[in-house]
Amino acid sequence: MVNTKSQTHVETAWCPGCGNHSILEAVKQALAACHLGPQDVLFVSGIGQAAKAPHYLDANVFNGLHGRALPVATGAKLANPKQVVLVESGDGCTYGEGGNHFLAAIRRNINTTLLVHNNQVYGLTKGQASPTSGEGFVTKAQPEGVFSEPFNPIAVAVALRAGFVARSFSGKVDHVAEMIQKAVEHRGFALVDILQPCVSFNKVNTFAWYRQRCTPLPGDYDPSDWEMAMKKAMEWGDRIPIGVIYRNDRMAFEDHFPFLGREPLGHRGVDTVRLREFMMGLA
Amino acid sequence: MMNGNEAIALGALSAGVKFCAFYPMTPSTSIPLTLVSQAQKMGIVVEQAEDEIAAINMAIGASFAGAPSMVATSGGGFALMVEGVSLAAMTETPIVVVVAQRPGPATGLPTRTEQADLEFVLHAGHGECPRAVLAPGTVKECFHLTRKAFEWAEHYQGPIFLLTDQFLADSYRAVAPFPLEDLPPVKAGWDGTPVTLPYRRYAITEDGVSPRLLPGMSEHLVVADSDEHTEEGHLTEDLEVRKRMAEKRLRKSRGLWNEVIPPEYIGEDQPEILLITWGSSKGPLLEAAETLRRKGKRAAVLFFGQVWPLVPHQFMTRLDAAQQVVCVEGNAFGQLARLIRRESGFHIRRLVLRYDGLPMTPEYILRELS
Repeated sequence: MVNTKSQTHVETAWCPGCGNHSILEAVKQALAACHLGPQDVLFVSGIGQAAKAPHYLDANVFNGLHGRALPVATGAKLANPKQVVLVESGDGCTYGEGGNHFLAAIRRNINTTLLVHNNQVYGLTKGQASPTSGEGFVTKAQPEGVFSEPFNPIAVAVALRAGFVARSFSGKVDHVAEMIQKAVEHRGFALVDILQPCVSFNKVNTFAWYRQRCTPLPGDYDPSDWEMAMKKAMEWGDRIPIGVIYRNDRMAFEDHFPFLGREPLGHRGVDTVRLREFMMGLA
Repeated sequence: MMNGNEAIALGALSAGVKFCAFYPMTPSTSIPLTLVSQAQKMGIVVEQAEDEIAAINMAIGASFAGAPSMVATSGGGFALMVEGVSLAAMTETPIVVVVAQRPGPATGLPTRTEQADLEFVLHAGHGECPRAVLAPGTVKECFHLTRKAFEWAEHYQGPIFLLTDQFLADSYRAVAPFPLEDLPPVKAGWDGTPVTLPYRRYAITEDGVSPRLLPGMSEHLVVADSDEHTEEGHLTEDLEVRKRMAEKRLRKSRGLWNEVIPPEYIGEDQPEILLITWGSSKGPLLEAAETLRRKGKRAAVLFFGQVWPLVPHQFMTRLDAAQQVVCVEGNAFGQLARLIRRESGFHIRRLVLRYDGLPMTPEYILRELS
């Protein structure tokens, strides 16, 4: 039987009080709730403090380059669609370095779950602004404060009609776990943007700051209503909505390849009869 | 009749390619387009990626999950893929990279030809890693060397390069049908028996090659990391482990070295003039040498179908035996000549170079030699 004990505890490289700890716990809860054992999942990550998370799980792991987790996950999913693939990385990796892949993964609707640890700052490189840092956020690299408008991943994902778009907050472990479970169960691309404090480098968006603002969506909220979802996606201030903001049933990318359902790509042989036909056709 | 790119696609299909990602770039695009024409029938996935960075990372992801994978691009696109080359090397993931050259720098002459990316491909990727660079000289060699690239990528678990150019990519030649039924495809990964527990993806071995299980296809967990890692695949700052891992990876170079395809020698021993070349300049050079012989000059050709690694003892006696040695290349630096000097100490003093965007021709070579 799969439960959170299917996962062993490993010492992490994170600061005490970092939101990553509770997200890790939520991931373990969600995997257990989905009855996924270590062999059943592949975690792909990039580079950053969040991207280390899969190393602290018992799972198949590909910890790749900064910003490039989504393409790796896309290739891996297509090669073996039966494998449950999750991508886990931070706001800098996913929305900054990997921004183009974020847009493309949404458009493809590849059946993977993207978990973004969003603390609105670069932690690994010690406190520069991230794409989601607020305007005016002061860092050593942005001493006059951030001039750029923050990237709104939820709004972008909803605008592109992503398959599944949710937001959560690391201070509510059960909520994070519930969002991850729903994301994994969704057939298509699923984004879970998880707000979390960075105790070392973000003194503005603290645990208390998020806790005060993060408000669950009302019980009668309909995530299939795109216009309402766009409206919710733009809410950011005294109240920040958390929950499943938008979802639809677009066809998952891999379902466009009928032959993929049968077996992993690597198990297929070479049909030399067809290949010979092709070769002779070139003549 | 087929052209170089079609022969590469055919070679890849014969070798068992199952995944190809690409971003359109002349003169490489007809490779993925040829593959996609067979994709549904042959059960392979060909995906146009959002950029070349995505293309190589997708191919690495697919390969990690067990699908023999390739990318095809040209110089500028390959520049974007370079970090991925390093990733394939560090995670020890097989991948075949086709670079169809065109004149640079930057956008250069997009629809013309050149052989100026040898040094680029040879050095592409930060850090140190084993690699092999194949440079087919004919359409037929495009087929066979593509198969070789897949075999080596799979066995040595890393990037293997195929370096062609616009001239070869688009040149149609009559080619005798390949005996496809007799040419086995590569097999991705390892059958997993017996596994010493716990399974270690990067187990230290004598030849540097670690048994590669595929994720989700056995009871064992497969962990790969672009950070320096332990044998289990988890990131580490242990500098002793780092040293052992670096040495393990580099030991794979010895295996590749032992398999290097010797350069092809055409002509009599101890010629008056030995003409050296690589890649698509082969045909024109053979014709130029033939003309010289008809005029009574004892001319021979030394053709490199593999330009890395270079194994000096395979060709030094040929260089030493010739009265005069000339290197003929489609670039302005004489890149193969420089590489031969670096690896063997032999200084080729006479060069015939072409970098006006046009293919090497026998007439051009003979004019430059006279």
